[in-house]
Amino acid sequence: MKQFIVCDPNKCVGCQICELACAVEKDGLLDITRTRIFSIRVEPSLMMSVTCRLCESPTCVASCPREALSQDPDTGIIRVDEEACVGCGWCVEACEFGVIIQEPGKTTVDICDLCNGRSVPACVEYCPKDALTLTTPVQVGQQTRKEVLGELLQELIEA
Amino acid sequence: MRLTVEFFGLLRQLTGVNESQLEFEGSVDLHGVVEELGRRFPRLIDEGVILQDRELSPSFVFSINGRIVAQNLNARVADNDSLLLISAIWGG
Amino acid sequence: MYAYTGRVLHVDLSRQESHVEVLESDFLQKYLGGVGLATRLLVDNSEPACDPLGEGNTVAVAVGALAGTMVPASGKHALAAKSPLTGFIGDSLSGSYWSHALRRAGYDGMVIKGRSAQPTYLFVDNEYVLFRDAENLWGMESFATEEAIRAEIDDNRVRVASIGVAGEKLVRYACISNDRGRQAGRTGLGAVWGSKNLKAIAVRGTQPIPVADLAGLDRLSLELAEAAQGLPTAKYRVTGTVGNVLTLNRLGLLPTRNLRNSVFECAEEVSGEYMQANYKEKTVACSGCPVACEQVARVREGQYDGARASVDYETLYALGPCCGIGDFKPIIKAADLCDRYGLDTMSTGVTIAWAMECFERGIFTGSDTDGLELNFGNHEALIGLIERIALRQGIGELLSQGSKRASEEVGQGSEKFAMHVKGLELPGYEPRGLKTYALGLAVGTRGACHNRSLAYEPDMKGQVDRLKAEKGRGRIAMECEDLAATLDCLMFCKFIRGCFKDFHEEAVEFYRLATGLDLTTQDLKQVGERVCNLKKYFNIREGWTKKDDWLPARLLEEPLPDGGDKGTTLTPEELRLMIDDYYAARGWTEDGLIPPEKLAELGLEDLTQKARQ
Repeated sequence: MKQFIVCDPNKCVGCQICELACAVEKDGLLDITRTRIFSIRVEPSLMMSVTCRLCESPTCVASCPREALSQDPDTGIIRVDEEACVGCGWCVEACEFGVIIQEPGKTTVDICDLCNGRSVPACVEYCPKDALTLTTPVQVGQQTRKEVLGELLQELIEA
Repeated sequence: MRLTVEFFGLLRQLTGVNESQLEFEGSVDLHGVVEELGRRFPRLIDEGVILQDRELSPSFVFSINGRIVAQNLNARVADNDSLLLISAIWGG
Repeated sequence: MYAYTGRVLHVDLSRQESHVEVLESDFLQKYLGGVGLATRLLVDNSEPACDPLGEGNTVAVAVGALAGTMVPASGKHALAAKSPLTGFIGDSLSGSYWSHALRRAGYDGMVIKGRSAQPTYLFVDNEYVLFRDAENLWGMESFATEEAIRAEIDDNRVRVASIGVAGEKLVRYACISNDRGRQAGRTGLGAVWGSKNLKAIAVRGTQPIPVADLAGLDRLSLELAEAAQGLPTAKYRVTGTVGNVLTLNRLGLLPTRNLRNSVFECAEEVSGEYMQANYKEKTVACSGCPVACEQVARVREGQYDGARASVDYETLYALGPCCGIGDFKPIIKAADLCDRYGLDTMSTGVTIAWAMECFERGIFTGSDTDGLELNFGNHEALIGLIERIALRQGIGELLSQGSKRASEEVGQGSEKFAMHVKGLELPGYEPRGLKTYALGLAVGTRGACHNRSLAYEPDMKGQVDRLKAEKGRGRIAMECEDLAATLDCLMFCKFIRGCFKDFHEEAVEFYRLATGLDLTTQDLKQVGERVCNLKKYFNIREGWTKKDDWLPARLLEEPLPDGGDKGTTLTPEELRLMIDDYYAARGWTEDGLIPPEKLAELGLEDLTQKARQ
């Protein structure tokens, strides 16, 4: 079952520690331009982080004129073929979540790969509020149902 | 001997109450109070507010009738004493 | 260089020019960064006796040594200038994204001099410095200013520090805001920017920060971040610092109605616990901080519906109990207005409390106050005065000068209950029941300040008898100040200080892993002492004398009014004893001046040369 990283906006505090953890893990640098996960403050009291959603029929893969992007059929992780990528940036535009980066000084793009090889993604490990989890669609559904029905039950008890 | 312990902030959440009346046979020191609180409110032990050997986490202090007692829990308490269990962390 | 960039950006607003000064690592090691570096830059780049709101005042800025790294709670910056409120050192801290951005743009600090002819904002874009027209921003609230600049540059990574209308109007306690809800609040530095026609400083910093040992720093940071989720930060995370209200009230130490009372009958309704249950909207963190202490509260009904602000204890005390206000709705609204106008909530609340007492005593009448009834507890008066202060309208003109100047102008005995030291209004702890803290308030270089003093800690932790004034408190107050200064130079946010097993040992390790520089724990402690003396040196240069270290008459003439220790007095003799004890502990003269030997001991002998010139 495909795993991906989700962020709970109720727990996220906008600290951006995920961004630093990602840059350090992937590029070994304290450089916020190199993060593959993005902390966004949508509104003064609403913030969350977003990264690659491992879409079905990903638009990034479809958009690449050099077929430099491919998706692993089992994990859903998007792989960048650094030889083929020419840094045209079409995938950056095509991504509906804006989570593909192409930074100055590098001709190829970078996309979150769930810290391939690490037991748990760095951002998930470092998040101080456990707002980030590596999970599956099935687990997300189960968790949401539990929470929403739990709240409903609590309201009934209090009423 | 009876006394009251009042709780604030996190401790209200952990105990579920704002204050607690404690009763003791004869005289007791703050170690004894800590032990009784731990018995009554096990969550205080679970969360590390109360430590082994009837000690208190350094993040909290007692005040006895307005006198804040530094981490030494040998202070004795008397009938009708009013205790506050408060955060030792100040600022803001 | 690791972590540090060794670069300070000098900006001349009059000439619209900038240049970079290079700093050597031994210089940086003496001051570390933050308040220490900012104070030193101020001392070196300013002339004595300038008008704080004139062209001659300098504003220095410095980030902490560890800014830009993943070290928890290290994303802070300090500003220092001559304060228009006190005439002495005005140092103020803030935190979050802007702090990191300045380091990532390539700077350890800034020095800002002169005055722009027109409203201007600076855009520090990595190595470029642009002077931009701020005519269309002048008159805007702080939040709107940030949004407008970020939209104009069209980059979410741009971080903005700005003043609101209060700073533009030169209200003496105007603040500087950054990152949607953080402020360098105290001592009126917003007015200094306003006097320079400086509306904002926008920073885009996207450079990597090299550190000496990335893996080691990462590991130690993760440990500290985990410790930061435990009991030593529980109060900040669960209720926020507003959690202080009920405890202080139960101990009879909650300053109420301009310190006429020390117990507030509405304490429960303005407590941290009450806020969590009824008004809490969100917890927000500063960038890079795993604690997350910012408690955002929101009003959802009534005439103040929609008001939203981060509410910390000092803000709550000043706008709440100090003014006799026992309801969160007007308090949140008042805090929101202060944030938008760019006002220090503490000085605002305590100055308004003074005005309320004046009104209740008949010193002001309705004709002075545009018909506002300035009674304690009247929330319409609180809200009405804030706008008048920010715009300097009606009685707001008088109040915008701060309680010291206002009471000196009004006279009629009102100086006795103007609750300030050196012009800076009092924080939210009752000094008559906390005598080491009372000493700390009197001698503090920026005025009445719990934060730079920390002397409330030994009192509140029961390490000393808080109701007694005795010899030995001088040394304790000194050590507390030195620790605060050390934290403010490194910079670690004070809220994380309880998470270290041995602060100095661990701090030098963080410093070494980041900068590659060896600092002993003794060196580190000495930085604190050095910076406290440096700030004192600045004050002496600006005309400080012994009489400036004292407390408001109310505290020395009226006993503790309420609570279990009601009737306790703090006498002038007690205060004199403690102050003399403090000067002796510091190695200063009986008049509180710094002998050349002490300056030399701290590596500040060059200041003796300066004094001679």
